[in-house]
Amino acid sequence: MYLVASFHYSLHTEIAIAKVEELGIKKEQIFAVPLEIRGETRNIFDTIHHADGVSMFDGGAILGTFCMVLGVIYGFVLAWGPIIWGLLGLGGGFLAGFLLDISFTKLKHSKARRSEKDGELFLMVQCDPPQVEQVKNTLWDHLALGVAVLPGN
Amino acid sequence: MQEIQTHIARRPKAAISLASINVFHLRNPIVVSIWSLIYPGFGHMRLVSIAKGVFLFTGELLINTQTHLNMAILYSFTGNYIMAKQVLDTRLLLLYCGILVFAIWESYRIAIEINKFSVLADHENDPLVPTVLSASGLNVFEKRNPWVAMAWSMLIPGAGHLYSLSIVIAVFMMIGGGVIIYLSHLLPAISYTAIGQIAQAKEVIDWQWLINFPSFYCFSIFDAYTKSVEINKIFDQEQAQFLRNNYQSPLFEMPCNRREIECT
Repeated sequence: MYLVASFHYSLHTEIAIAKVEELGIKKEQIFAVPLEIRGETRNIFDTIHHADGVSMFDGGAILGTFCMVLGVIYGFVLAWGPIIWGLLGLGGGFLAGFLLDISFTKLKHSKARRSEKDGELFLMVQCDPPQVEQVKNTLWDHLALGVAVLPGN
Repeated sequence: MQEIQTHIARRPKAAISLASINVFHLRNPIVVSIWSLIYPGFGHMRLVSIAKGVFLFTGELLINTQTHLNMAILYSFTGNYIMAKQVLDTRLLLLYCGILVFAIWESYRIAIEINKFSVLADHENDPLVPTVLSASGLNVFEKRNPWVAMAWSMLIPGAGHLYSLSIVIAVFMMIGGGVIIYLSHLLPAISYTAIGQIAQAKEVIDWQWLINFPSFYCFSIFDAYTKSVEINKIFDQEQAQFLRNNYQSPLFEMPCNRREIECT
């Protein structure tokens, strides 16, 4: 019998494998398929800007900083004072930068971003029929995203 | 003579010590140099050059304080050009331009260099060591929630870095943030603003120091968030490497093999 389970990269995954091994499954009966990590493509020019998942925050942070400085400076002469204007600058600048970033990213790479909730690695466990239930429960207990049982022989 | 079999990673992807985790990661050189423009040293801290960043930041802060540059900026932006000229101390002023341009140029250069190293390290794919444990502490590649790191940094500059395992930057952020908050009289001004006494808030503030604060605050939030994302990715990469090396045995019987045997 075969069990196939999908997981995120996390410490729970390693614990799941350890627990399955403790049930008497040998290392050779476990096969892991870690999927290629997003954004780690070898092409420099494509990945610097968008594929690393961080850049959604870049524009907001930078524009937020500039607007916060301006808010503090003009708070010197404006009625509400530097702190309120600084916070308004931060919020407004961040929002503007974030929206700009999103619209640019959408224009350029509408299909580049995928949901982070997809499975990132797959485990295949080959075991005898009596063990299936136990292994299956162990996998579920350690945050498997999905588990399937395949009849082997 | 027997050759000693120690493998040294020529292009490691990440380094871990008790005090921090340093990662080669692809970064946009333009974003890095804009951080250098906001405050010389921040761009270097974004990259792996923490010591250089702290050095440049401290130098800039000293020159800025000595020349009253922030006051001049404040007066110029609010249209008081006469005061702007009067308040400047010109003995160090020109040095500031040099440091600013140097920081922008160099952080751009380092960013491009590190992107190259990052690609090479991905290609070499040397095994990473995920844990450092010593008598005085523990540091380990671990998943961190970047939004939690960001939220802590909003409350205390540097706390997000403590959470995301970068103790060296956390110490710098906490000391630097503490000094700026104290000398700018920010917290009393917040209290006055909260109870509606804006005039008193304006009076109590030290403007020269307050103008340092927004950049510092925003950078600490941004960097804590980004560091967590980068460390999460290194965690993924190391775990994938480990699984590939240990759980892809050629002895594993693939289901398709079975069927072929049964059919024939």
